[in-house]
Amino acid sequence: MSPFGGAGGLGAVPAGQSAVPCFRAEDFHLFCTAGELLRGVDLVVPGGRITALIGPSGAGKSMLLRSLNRMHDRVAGLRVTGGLWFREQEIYAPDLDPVCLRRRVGMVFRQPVVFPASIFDNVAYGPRVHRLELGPAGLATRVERCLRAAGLWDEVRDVLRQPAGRLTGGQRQRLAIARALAVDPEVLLLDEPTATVDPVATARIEDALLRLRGALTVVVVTHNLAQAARISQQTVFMLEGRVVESGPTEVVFHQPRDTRTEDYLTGRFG
Amino acid sequence: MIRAARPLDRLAGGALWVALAVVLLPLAGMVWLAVRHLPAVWLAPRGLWPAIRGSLSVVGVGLALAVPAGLCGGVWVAEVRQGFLARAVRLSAALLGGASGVVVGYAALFALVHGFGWGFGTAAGGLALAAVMLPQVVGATTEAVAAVPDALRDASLALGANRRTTVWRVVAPAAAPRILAGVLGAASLGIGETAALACTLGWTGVPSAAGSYLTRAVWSSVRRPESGAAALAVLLLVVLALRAAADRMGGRS
Amino acid sequence: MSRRLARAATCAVALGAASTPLVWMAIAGVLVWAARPSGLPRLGAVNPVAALGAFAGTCATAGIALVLAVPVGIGSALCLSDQHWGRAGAVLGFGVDALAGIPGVVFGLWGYQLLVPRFGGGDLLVAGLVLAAMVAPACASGCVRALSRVPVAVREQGRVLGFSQWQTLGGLIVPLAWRDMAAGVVLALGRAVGETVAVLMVGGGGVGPAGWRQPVTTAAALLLADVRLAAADPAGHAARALARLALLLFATTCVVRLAAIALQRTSAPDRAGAGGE
Repeated sequence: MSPFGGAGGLGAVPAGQSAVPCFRAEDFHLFCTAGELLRGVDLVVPGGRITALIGPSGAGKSMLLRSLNRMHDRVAGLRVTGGLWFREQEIYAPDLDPVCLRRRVGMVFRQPVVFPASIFDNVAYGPRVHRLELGPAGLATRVERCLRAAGLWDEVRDVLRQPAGRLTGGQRQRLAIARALAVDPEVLLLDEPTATVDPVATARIEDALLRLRGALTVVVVTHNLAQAARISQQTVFMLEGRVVESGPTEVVFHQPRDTRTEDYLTGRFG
Repeated sequence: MIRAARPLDRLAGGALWVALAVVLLPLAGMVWLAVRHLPAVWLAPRGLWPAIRGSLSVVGVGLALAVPAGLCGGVWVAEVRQGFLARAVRLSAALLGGASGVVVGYAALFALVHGFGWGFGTAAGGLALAAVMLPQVVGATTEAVAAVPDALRDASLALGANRRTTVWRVVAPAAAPRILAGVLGAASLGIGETAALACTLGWTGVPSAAGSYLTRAVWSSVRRPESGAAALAVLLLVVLALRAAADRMGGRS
Repeated sequence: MSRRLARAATCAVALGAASTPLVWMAIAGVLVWAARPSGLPRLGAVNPVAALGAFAGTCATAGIALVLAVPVGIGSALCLSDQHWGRAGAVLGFGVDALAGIPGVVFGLWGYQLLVPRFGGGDLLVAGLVLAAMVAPACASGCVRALSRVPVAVREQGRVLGFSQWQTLGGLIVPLAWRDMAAGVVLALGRAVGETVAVLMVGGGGVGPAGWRQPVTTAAALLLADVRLAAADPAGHAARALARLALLLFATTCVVRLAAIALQRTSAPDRAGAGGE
């Protein structure tokens, strides 16, 4: 299955994915030595769409996002209660291999990270690590396809063998997206992907995310409400470690049920 | 009113400059000692070959033992971080790094040269030198690996790479220049070690003609400035070159 | 299959890592074994190994070196840490670092050929001076590292508050870095305690610290000077007494290192503000 057909318009959810939600949380709590960071999250993230996680600083958005592919595992004193599922699979089940989970659920961080290697090797990292038998030509095709999907191909097609450290911040972030796509994930988690880049690069990254819609489930944490409104179909508003409100973006933004949501969206706090 | 600099500040600055000059003074003296008898320095290396060869072989054996062990130790300390082994490695590397070469040498003399009957030679010398260089390699590796930002590790883990792959393919290349710098530093430490080698390779005070090495050449020429100058020049050159190379390596990352 | 391979690789690395504590334990064990009591005369009583006198010599020379070297070492570190003069600063910094890494035998030869003739023979003062020359760059190098760990933001804060260069240094940077600087000084002290050949070359080979201008020896120097006795009779009195001296020296250097670790443990200006999300 190639996730990069380029087709997927609004609502083009592949059949069968809407039946089982991509992520589901029921009374999910997360504790670490610093205290209780998530205090009973109830959430449904539908597949094949872009879901935006919004809320003020310290609401637990990044915490929740990093729980979805178990990036916290190294945090000291981590403990979770309640349920969190990726499709049918319980994420914190003791027998689940986080490495396998992360291969299906990719992630892009706030600060763009490039490996100290060439642009090509950065994108090829995942396929090589997972020993995907693509062959040299197949690997090159995969790299090109992912760079195109991330909207970076035209800028780097002639410098693929140069160190990735020479790229600008916005290019690095798109490289990180391409690298995450190269292992064919089913989900892409993004933690404030445009927080450190300029508006032009932000637009490019948003374009790339919109192109991925439909084929891939995207969950994006953002502080930028306008961005959430521009790109997401689902919006989840979080406050103090809980989900206050979630639903279709138009509904959450225009007819919020909870006054706290309305207060946040209209700028009374946050 | 705005003044450029207060007189007291200027005085303090001057005092610090003097301190720096005093610290650097011996270096000038050493260079002068090395180049004072330039013709002798030019001619003598022929006679120094056995010493250079001896130093190289014993440092080579020492590095061959210390580098793999030190890499493992440093990676364990910086990557695993917790647990008994990590703490033991960190503590023992710190303690061993402070140990005097003569103590290491004496232990090697007692256990290896006499106890196991290896006799004076490269084997005992290399092992003693490995013990001297090991904490250096562990320390440099630990620092280099710990300096790799966690963001890089997370980026790799998020692609579904496991811990081992991440260390091998992402952390190691990022840390390699500084690790290499540490290995060069350890080599320069080994080249300059005297006491540990004196106990295991022999010197004028120890009844053995087994080994010739650079520091011994410097030491035994103490009453003959001309031939001492050549050995000193070679030793200084090697140590400074290794240090400069290490600086370059470490600075690049 | 690959999981088993992974486990084997981890075990191999753990085994390699374990070699460092094992080496330390082996050295300690050999020394303890070599020094085991056996009804022979106690430490210091065996002629010609005047161990306690030599240990007093270690304390005296290291003390002199420390008193002389610490002010200039810290002074030059403060001078170097103020990086306003680009290339020249880099060259001087390299000089100090290089000097800190120059072997003791070179310092010994320097002292023997340049200092001893001027002072008319090796003695406690010359030994102290040579050790000070060794300790000062080590001290400076350690303090530069400690100072460089103070975040740039702190320096800028000083400038923002209208502090002069030296007010920033004394009021903001040194209070943050002093524990690491102290640790650097203690590490340099360890070098003075363990130095062997340089003292052997310029100490004049006395027994203990009898006076400023009297020959002196240290534990480390005596150990090397008398190794031939141990070599001559590996099971005898001398070997045992020397092993006790070596054990004492080993324990001393370990204590010095532990002091440095204790100083460093409670200070970490670079940890503050690093990482996080």
